[in-house]
Amino acid sequence: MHILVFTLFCSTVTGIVYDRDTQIPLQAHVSINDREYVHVCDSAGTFTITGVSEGSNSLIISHVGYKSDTINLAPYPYRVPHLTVGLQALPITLDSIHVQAEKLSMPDRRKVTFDELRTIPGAEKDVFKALQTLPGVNSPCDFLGLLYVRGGELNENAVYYDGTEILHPYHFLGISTIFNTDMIGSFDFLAGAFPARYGGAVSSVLAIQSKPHPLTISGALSIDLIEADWMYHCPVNKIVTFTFSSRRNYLDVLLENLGIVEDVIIPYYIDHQGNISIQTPLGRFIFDGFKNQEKTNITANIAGERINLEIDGSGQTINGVWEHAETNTIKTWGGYFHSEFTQHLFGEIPGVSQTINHAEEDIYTKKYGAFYHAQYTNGLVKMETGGGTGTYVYRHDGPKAVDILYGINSLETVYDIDTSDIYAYFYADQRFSILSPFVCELGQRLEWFPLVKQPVFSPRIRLLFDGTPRIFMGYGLQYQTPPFEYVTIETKAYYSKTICCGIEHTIHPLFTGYIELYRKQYRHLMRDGGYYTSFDGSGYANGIEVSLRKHNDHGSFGWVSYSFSASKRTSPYDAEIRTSNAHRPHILNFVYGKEFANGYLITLKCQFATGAAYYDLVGVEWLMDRWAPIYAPEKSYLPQYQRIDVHFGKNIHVFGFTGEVYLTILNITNHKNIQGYLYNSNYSMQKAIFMMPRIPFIGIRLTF
Amino acid sequence: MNKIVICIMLSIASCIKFDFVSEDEDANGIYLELTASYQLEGNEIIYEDGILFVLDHDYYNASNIFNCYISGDSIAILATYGANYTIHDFFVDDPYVYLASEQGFEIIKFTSTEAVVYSSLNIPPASIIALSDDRTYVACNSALYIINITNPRAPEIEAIMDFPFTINSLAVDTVYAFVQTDYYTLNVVNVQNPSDPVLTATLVFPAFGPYNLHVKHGCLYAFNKYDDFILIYTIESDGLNRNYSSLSLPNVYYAYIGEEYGFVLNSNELLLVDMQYTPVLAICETMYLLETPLSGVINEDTIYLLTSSKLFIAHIKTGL
Repeated sequence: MHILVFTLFCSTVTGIVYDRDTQIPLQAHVSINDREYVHVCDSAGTFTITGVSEGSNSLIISHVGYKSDTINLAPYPYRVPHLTVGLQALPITLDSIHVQAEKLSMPDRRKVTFDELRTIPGAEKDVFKALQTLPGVNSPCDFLGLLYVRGGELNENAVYYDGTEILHPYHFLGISTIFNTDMIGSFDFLAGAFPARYGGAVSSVLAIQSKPHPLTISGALSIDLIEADWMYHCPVNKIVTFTFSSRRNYLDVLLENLGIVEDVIIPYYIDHQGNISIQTPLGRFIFDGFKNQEKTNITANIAGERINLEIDGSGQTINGVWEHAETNTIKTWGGYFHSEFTQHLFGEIPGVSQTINHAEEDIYTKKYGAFYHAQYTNGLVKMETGGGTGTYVYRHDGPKAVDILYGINSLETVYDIDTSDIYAYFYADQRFSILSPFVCELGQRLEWFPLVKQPVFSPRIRLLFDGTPRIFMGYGLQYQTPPFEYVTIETKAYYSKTICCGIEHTIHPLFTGYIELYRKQYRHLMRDGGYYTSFDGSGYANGIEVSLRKHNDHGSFGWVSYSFSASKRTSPYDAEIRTSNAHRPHILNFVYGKEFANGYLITLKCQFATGAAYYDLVGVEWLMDRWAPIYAPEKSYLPQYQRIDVHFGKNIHVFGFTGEVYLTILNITNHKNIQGYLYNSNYSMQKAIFMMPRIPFIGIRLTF
Repeated sequence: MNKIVICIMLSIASCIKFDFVSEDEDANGIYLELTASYQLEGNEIIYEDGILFVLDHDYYNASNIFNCYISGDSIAILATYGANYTIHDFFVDDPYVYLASEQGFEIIKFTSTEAVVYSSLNIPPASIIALSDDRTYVACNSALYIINITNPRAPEIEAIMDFPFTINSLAVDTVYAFVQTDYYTLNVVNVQNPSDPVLTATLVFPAFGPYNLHVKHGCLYAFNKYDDFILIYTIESDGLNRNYSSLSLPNVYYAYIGEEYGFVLNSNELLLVDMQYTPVLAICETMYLLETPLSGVINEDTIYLLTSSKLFIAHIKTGL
């Protein structure tokens, strides 16, 4: 174990300190008996002490959790060899820990931590890109953070930030989320029968937890070829802390200067995010705020015809939450939130006889309300109840200009909507131990959706055998409203009925395997019949997900997952009731990250999947005065999707900052993944839209 | 070690390739190519086992039917049947040609050298004829004649069914005969027992006009050239599904329904119709024509188009 490598001169002592068992370098303390100060080893475990005077006869090496070692220097009066020191770990005695019941996590809850998130290639700046590597999740496009989850649609996922629902978590088309990664501590992703606390989504819930608020000043600064962001956390005193962050992308500047302005999305966005936390004897008051602005241009040229879409948007959200712990077992939190979002779209497409058709679309949404939740926990027993109410305002003027991106060359259908309605929810959830080790969680959620003139009830049942292996079963109804531009007098909330069963087995302290089967039935799906909207669509998703996860151990983490999903559902654009394939049936993801002792780190992300389902263009028909597309009745699959990303990093310490310099290469094999096709006005010519090409970018991230 | 890692990273980074702009390409990879033309006069054409059968109306209410085949750069006429009356419709089941004419119903036997009247039935002047298994269905004004042709030498009338209005179009499959009358009404007749046909349903078309009816792929295709569309009804075991799909067309006057493809014609274009997703039809390719065709037929990937003076051959090619 002790390897002597080389020697130095007599007045200098050098060496390296390892854990004797794992051989991991230790940032140990090294002191010489006649010195008052202590030398600290660097991250590679090495130390160099100069000016060692004669008469020094011992070197003391110590580290928290390890047995100290003393080396006698007397045998080396003139030349001290390079020392390699292995320390023996000691068992650490801790005070007893009271484990609260809420720490019991159901196996269907998938967690990714900030340390993992920031090294997943492509997800350094966007939490949702990391989600796309989880089982059961796929994305319509490399560029976007939008998610298809278990046969669901893009608008069927809910996002909560510190318990408050975020109305518009994406910039236009999902190019990016509005969250600064440095503000995020971790996230939980639920795709099965989620707890009664969460509603308004039939597919999934993403619960983001912000970073804890330490009582020390900290911050982060990050810049790469695409985006720059900063975060500053400042505790004023032990009561008040501030955290602010901003970010701005400049891909628009980069692409325009490179002359790449056609057949590509040119996004611009700037986000501000803030948090104020006030700790008082009455509890903790937390105020979060988001302010976002975006401007995106999309121009495509097909067979000499030009399609153009310009988007201007802005949004702001503020919320205030009061958290209060009545006792060790009772916790309450409630608050108010106000969120609004505006968007203006301008579209141009070729019209009849060499003319250009213009369309302007304006969208305004506002949601505000209050909520209050209470939770009692005692051991495994948990009781939680809560409710909230507020108002949802929606205005839409003009045709759906965004439809031109989906090959719809008619902008004549105008959706003029101006509506405002209340929403409300109430839920109760109870967890108890039936007979150890069985745990049962029963919940009921009552929801009143805007414009849906009747309440809906969503029972949730979750059972856990908390043994070895852990076995989980879940059942639940999950409701949500359709997109508001389609609302009619008979608007119905559509729902999914989910039943799932999973087995989690800890193969090794560092490895956990999980397998889950699920079946989802969709009902009351919206169907756009052309002249009217009806809610008689349906669908299903049956699938299996298998994953093996290596937990983070000294910077080494990863997972491999395979998902099979057989899903069919009614398309909102179909005039007829028919169910068709939805999304990708086979998805294989592999993520592995390793941080080396010398500060280098590498993360590899591989994704292989069946191509996305799409309606193949069969041909055209002549409607009045123009050609209209006709698509195949059953969806086909695009060619196979392959993508390998890699992230190289090096931990650095400069000017009092710690951080990382990194090189990320997206789509390292430059595989041409097809996202879809755009067509000219008579649909005789098409242009394949490719996803991400090979894109390397270098960045630096500094923290203090 | 650091230098090696940096070298590897820079080597990979140097492989930047922004080649994500794609080229324009044909939307479906289907092309039409006009490959040949021949001097030939005729009005209607039917393809059967490598032989073309052509009905040609002359100016004096007389008609000719002849069979021919294409040999290299020329076209060879094998046999001709001349009639001094108008033949309205014909159907081929080689070697027999079944005629609906002013003379009623006739069966002509064609060989490579001659065409002779094989048999006939003395029924009122007939306008439309359709064939299914061993029976022909002949429309004579408002009456539907069901004729057993098991023995072509001696065809027998099995049943006669009267309708209140003139029959405009007719199509049959093994179970049902579809009869359009009075420009609006579609009559569905169960002919499983040909000697006792039963009217099982009537339905009203969504638009006025004479329809050309075709049965193929388990569907009934109703082409309305007044309003330029094709309606597609699914034939089910208990009758016709009243929910239909449709294909709207640009000013066309003729429709041909084939196996994989069909086509429609307007004055200067042939519009190829993709049939593979029936009952969803779509125009998948367009070919401009120098002459106005009267009728046409598809055999596999070959289209035969008949104008008043020429026979054009076009081929369907696929592949992006």
